Amino acid sequence: MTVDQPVSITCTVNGEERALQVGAGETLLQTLRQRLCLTGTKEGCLEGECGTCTVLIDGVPVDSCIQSAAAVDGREIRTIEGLSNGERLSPLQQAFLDHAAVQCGFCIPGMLMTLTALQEHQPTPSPGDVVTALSGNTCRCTGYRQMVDAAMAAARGGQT
Amino acid sequence: MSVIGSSVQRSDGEAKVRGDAVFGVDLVVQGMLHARLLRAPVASGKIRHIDTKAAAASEGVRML
Repeated sequence: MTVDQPVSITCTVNGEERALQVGAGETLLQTLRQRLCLTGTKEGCLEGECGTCTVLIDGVPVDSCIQSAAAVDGREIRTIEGLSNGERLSPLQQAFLDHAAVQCGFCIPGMLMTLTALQEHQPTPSPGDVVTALSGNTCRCTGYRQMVDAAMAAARGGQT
Repeated sequence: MSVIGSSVQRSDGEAKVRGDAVFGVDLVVQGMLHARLLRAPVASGKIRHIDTKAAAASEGVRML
């Protein structure tokens, strides 16, 4: 099998079932950005170090730059585009705005996906839990403190 | 003054938390060319010659 060999997969992306032909060597990040035009998921290091490309696969945060697209057949994928409910931001998205946790913004999609997974698995995290959850996500503007504050506020129901 | 001394949200913040913000890497324009950098396979050396024949013959290559 060559890297370009087409593979047919069916997966759910942000609640919508998609039948796709992907390359055997294609990454999920390439599929999302190039085939589905979901460019909210960013390409950072391309080696699974920085967490910028984090998406949720069956609720688990995964670096999509080192995830085989062919292997997500039958799985449920969520990206930053699927976080808000139409106009209404998710509590985490709103908290990021309220706590000035957004600077250049490049890492934010990955941060929000990682924290969304944390929130779903651990609704009342400690600041330490948040820091541990974010240990695989790099912010080169280094605004981690505001992100932890935002995640804690979102967990408390938006109160600061 | 209504702004100085108060906490204001950044104007592009919402687009950034939605994943809608367009960064350079997200931009596609018609006829856009893509560049690739060939790095030296050795740490230090003098370039005497680069054989570009195969690259120049590749489909869609505009410039080397």
